[in-house]
Amino acid sequence: MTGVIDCDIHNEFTNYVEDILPYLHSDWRHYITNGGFRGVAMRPFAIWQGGERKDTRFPDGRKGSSTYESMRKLHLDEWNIEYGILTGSVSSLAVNYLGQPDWASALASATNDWTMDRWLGKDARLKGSIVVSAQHPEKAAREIDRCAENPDVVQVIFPTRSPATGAWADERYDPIWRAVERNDLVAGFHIALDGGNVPAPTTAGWPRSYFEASAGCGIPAQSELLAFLCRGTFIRFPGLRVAMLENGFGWFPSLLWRLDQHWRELRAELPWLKRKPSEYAREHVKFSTQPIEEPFQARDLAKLIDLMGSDEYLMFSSDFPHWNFDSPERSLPPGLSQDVRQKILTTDARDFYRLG
Amino acid sequence: MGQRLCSEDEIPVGEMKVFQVGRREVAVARIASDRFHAFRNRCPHQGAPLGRGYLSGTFMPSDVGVYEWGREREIVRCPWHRYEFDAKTGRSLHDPQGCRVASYRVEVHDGFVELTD
Repeated sequence: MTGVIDCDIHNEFTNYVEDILPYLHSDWRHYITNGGFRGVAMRPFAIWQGGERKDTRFPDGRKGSSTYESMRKLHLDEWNIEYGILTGSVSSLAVNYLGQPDWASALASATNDWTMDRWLGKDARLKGSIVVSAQHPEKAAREIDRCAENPDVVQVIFPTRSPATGAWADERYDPIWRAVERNDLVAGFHIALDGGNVPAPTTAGWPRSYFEASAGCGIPAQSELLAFLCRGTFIRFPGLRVAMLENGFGWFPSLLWRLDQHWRELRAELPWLKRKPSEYAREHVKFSTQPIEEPFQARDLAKLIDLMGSDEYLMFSSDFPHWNFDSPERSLPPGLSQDVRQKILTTDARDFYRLG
Repeated sequence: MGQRLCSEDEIPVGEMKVFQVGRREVAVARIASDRFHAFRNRCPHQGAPLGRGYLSGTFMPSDVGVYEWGREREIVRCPWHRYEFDAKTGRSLHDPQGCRVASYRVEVHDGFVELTD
């Protein structure tokens, strides 16, 4: 098959604490060596039979996503990946939900040094994402400036749900968006079901099953995107690009319709929106495809894309090595034109992430 | 005489193994000491290798809030999207008519598992 750009490949820890310890500033190591710290993720949900594809694990149970060599064999070479955007372990996003800001910053920096040392620069196909700790936006901005010097860093990645203090579009996070914008990176928002200093992922409390939580993946994404679009974030940061990662996209057309409808009716309440909200979305936002929507009739995905008002919103992603991995060859249904398939598989991501 | 795949000792009870047979990949599940079932090693959803997934029981349809485990070692679960298939018939649990994999006969002769389809 022709080359594919995969926007969501998880390069994962073998063991979070052991992996980042060498990169952690010495002042902080006692939290691990003496403090019994085990990791950032506070997972309210267990996934029956695990979160990974069983066929990606080594015989001894280690993850195939925990080494470059196994990732290359299992995924990059297997599917003819032209470029892969590494998104890290989802658990590392939970630094944003910790209560101790400086500890969170230290963990984020160590995670980024692990990524840059162990994953980037080994393979021209791999580009990387860095994490920051939102508790301290100015420190996060400095960390972004630091890591952006690595030419293979293309994205700053966040959990979709903003911490309990309020939406990602809040002014408190301005230093972060300013840093993302000035370094010409993408701000990626990836689903994360962790707990900590963060509200439930729905307005009806905590789901009671992983099934329910996962089916509602669009809810936090819609909340954050509404805030970005209504509060003028893309006007104040005209160079900011936002990638919605693993949040679904089937919910997006009706959100755009409602936004544009209200702009016709209620524009006066948000007078800084000088153009339709959907136009700002088109310029600043894209979506990764996995887990791809499965309409009742598979061919109807083409209709859904039409309803989005642009065929340039979607960027293929596999979510290797997770259980609901989308095959680069088989996940796009029939009914899409060759042109749209090409955009999803390569062009949209190549443009958005400024790849060669 | 069928196509000999392996000695029966090579597949422990409760496990699956995959074989290349001509152009087909065939998965064999041993659901009991004397019961082997074979099926196409390709999930109808996105083509995942079913034989490299899970062989187990499942929670049976039940009343709300009730969990009843059943069909131990009879359910093949795809390693990707976790679709469940009856190891004996190849039919999916969620759509037995519309979503299924080809099921093949295997028999044991002289301690060897043979594909007879």
